[in-house]
Amino acid sequence: MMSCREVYGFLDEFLESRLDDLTKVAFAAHLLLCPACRNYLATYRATLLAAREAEWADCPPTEIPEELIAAILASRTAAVQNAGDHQC
Amino acid sequence: MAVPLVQEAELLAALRAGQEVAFETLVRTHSGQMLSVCRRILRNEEEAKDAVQEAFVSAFRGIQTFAGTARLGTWLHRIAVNASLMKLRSRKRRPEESIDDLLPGFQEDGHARIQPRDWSPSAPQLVETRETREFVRGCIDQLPETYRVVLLLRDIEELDTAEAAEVLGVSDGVVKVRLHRARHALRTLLAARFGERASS
Repeated sequence: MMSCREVYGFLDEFLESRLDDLTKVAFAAHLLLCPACRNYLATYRATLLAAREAEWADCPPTEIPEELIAAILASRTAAVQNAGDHQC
Repeated sequence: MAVPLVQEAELLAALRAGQEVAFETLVRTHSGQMLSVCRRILRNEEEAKDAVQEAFVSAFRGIQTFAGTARLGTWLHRIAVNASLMKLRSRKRRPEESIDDLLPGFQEDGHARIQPRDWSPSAPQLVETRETREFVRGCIDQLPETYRVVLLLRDIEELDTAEAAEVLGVSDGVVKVRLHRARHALRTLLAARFGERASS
């Protein structure tokens, strides 16, 4: 039977549906009999969701400051002028 | 802000023709999203703004060779990630701390040393308020840089393994190992909030 150590090692493959059939059966059998690993899986999954939500919620695509837009466009103009100078 | 495909094709043609108004449209449409990406990776407002500017300079240079197989937003996102990583690399590096204490420990027979309880029903509390979300981000920031970056690229910025490996200049295997360890370590840090102690 698969050990807890092996189950922990396969968590990413399990979550991304990348386990082969035999491993999937052994993984599922272990989970059925091991409440600790079921708990670990549930909290591992919750960790990934919390990380995503925490990173996205307070950092949505924002209005960009006008001075930054001006600086970006100015850097392009400067690059174009430099290229023109080099051609001359 | 998503741009309809037809408009995007027109915008790309105008960019390739060197039309000033097209460059301004590109910047106004995508810069907010790019700034968010750079903020998440760099955690520093001024460096994030510099990275956005540098990313657009790269994009302007590369627009003629952009194959157009991906959306402009996706292409720009990757360029913003690259610009942010360049900035990270230019920072003075601190010696990296070991992550081992945050990884699950096992007995000789393969059983976990700690019997975790299921705090997942309470996990939504972690993202309920700005303060709790800051706690989660703080936990992510506690990860050593190589692990934090892989976690951000794969789980937040949604690069696949090969893409993350390419921008980091490492193998797919290294990305997988680092991601695996980063996720376990982050789980340990979050679990502490629910009273679970680390296993070693």
